[in-house]
Amino acid sequence: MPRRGKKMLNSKRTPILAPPPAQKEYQIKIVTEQCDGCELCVEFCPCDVLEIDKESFNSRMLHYAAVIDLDACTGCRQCERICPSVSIFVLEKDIAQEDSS
Amino acid sequence: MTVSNDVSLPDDYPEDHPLHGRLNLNRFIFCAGCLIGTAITAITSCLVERGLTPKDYAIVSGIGCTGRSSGCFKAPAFHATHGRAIPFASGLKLANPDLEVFVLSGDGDLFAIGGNHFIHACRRNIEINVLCNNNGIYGMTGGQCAPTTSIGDFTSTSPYGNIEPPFNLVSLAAAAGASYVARWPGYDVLRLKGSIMAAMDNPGFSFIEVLAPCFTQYGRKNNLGDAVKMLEWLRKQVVIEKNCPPHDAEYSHKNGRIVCGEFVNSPREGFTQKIKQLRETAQKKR
Repeated sequence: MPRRGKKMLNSKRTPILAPPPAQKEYQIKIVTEQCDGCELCVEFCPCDVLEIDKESFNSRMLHYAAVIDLDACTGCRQCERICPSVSIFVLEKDIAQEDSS
Repeated sequence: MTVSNDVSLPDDYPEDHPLHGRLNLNRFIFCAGCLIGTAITAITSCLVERGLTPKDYAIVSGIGCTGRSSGCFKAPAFHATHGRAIPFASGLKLANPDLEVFVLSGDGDLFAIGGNHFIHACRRNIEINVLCNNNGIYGMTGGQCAPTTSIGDFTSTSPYGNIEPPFNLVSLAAAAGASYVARWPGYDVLRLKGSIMAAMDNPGFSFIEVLAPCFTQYGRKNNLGDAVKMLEWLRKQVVIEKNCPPHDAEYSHKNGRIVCGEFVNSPREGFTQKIKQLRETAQKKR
């Protein structure tokens, strides 16, 4: 039997710090020929990064998704997971590594 | 605006895509917004995360909307006859026990014509992973009443409302003896992927029900709107519960309550291992 009191009396705690500044840059790529314009990525994005481009068409005469506010992207990849036609994906780049090298 | 008349899709994704070389781009023929494509992506990304090459796994699907999904995989993928996806997959697994076999099929295929095969695969505990895309209707053939249609729903063969009580797929699989049973809504991809990973770890029959509502047939007949509105309609009903016994997993659109979660996770010895032991004992007796 493990002693329960020993773990509870341990006073070591990790300090609560402010979250580190953003060190990654995100790039959203959209395969426009594959996109059906179903608006699921627009609906599921928590930061309103995407929108359906109502002015342009792909070769199947469908409107496709477009990036309107890339700076708001947090890289949660919800759009990449939900997309039913697998036409959107997120690439991430580490800024800190590039500066040091 | 310049539009070319020839419809030509690229053959494969760009090389920096995480699923490059795993999917056929021009075979995604589903309605815009149908969550079948999401289930395909979830399975493929789980296989990529496990480091499995297309030689290590096989996909089997039956007939129907979800049955067309086998063409999307750049892997050994088989489009079996109606309702016979599970017998086909059992044969594959028995012939090559090292193979990771997935069955991705619809509710009409697995539970209407293939219901008998399903319960006996559960009983034998064959090491295959079955994903059922439950849309509650026969989508491809024109929206007929399916064994998973809820009471009171309007379909093209029940214009005054359905009077037959539906199957509760989770209770059915658990009662037949499946060793891993889960149910997730199709939009909750992170939990679905975790469940697929657990199903690959499980030595035995694993069943995952994916709720993917059909807005083309079911939504139109019941005035539920387009794909996005229908997902909101589903999200209001879904309740996620931990450690819920499978016979309490309620599934009813009428009460507005669909219990999701992981219901059974009790690994036991699989069928191919038993066959191996039987073969060894038989050879000793000779």
